[in-house]
Amino acid sequence: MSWFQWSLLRPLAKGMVLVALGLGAGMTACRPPVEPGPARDGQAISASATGTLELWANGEAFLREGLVSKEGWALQFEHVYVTLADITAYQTDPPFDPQGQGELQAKALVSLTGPLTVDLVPERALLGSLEAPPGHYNALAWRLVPAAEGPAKGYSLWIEGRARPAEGEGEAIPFVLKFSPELAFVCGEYVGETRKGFVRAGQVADLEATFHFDHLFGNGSLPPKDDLNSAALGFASLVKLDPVDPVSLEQGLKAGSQPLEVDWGSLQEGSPRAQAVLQSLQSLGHVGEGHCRASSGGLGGTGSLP
Amino acid sequence: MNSVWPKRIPFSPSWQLSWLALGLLLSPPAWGHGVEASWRAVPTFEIQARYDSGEPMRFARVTVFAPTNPTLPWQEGETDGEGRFWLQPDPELKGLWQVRIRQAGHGGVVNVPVGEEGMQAEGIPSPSSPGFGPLQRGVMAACVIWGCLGTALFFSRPRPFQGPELPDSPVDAAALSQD
Repeated sequence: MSWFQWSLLRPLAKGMVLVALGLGAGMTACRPPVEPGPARDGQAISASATGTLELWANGEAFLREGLVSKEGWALQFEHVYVTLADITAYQTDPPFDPQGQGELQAKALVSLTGPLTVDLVPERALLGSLEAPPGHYNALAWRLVPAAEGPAKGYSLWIEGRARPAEGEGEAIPFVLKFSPELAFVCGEYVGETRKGFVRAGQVADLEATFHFDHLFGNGSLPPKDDLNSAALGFASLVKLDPVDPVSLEQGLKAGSQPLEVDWGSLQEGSPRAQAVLQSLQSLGHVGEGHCRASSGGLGGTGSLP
Repeated sequence: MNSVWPKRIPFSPSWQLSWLALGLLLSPPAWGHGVEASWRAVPTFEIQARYDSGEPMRFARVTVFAPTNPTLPWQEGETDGEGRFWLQPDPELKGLWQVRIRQAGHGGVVNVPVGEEGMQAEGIPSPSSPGFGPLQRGVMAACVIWGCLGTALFFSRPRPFQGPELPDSPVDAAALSQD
């Protein structure tokens, strides 16, 4: 290539590079936002022909019928209060994967602000019915927050019941377990016998925030080394958590009708015990059998986790 | 026996051929067992289902939903002894196929893209980076080509002469020639 030819092409080459840089920057700036829009209380994003979306909370048969903890304590529940806020159903595209790394990308959403306190023991609890634009609501999110009023005031989760040894003789010990941490759950599509969340104009669909209490207490019908039992705290461990007034279940049995009471507020901030409880509570939230991405909004009562 | 009727039915060779042709025409088609087989390549997706612990979901229930009817199962089956399931979707039904896997109160879903736009080699979710459109892809390709061309031109440009410096004045030139 002669010097003359090069002198003609050199400005052209520089121009090409500048044009390429400019186009690249422009494309980056024009990317669509990936964050979901703000939640609205019972208000649909688009108001065409709408259907109804019912939002429910369910503690499953474990709460209604009782369960045997991983250490062999038969638990019967009288009240299990949970307080939910910002319960939001999303239409996501691509479908949100709670076990992946991607953010939730919403096309439409409907939301209940709350907070709403429900007792999960008697039956599946209706949180609310929302007018919703048609589509598949394939993600659900909510926060567990301390109740502002009512029987569980100050606590996001209140578990009240009776425990007795599953084998042999023994009186039932009343117990109350009170937890106040704020937790957030972001879940994908409901997983169960049927698919849920398909809203059609003029019809009713439903979604469900499901709480798996076997993840907290373990399941005595499974082997001790089962993954679920390895991860669960168990009932006896929960009762021994109170560092101020540590009691054992054996002491409780002798004490008779005095209820065993464990208050999250007595746990030391950031202690291994608090971390273990928090981790176990984060595994409670599901959508049917589908898993959720959980995070803690800090300890209620006495402090917060890092 | 002196029968009369055979004499009335023509049995000459030409008539025999005619009878044969008529018989063939009247034969039911089910008597034939012709086989026609063809083949075509269809995509197959291997799905591996595991628990959080890494343990395979062995013999778990699998339900497949096609994008055309997301509420009616298109196929039902189960994983094998290593937690694997092979999905052979109808390639004509393009879109997201959903595979639901459930066992002992635990479940999960896998979304498999089928079709030219959505086909990918692995189901590694990357929803945080939205896909680029055809125009954006074209512009990006053009930028890369321009960049390569510019780089090539830069390195192929003529370089200035690198020999000894020439003297600036005739005196210096004379001194140089005496050396």
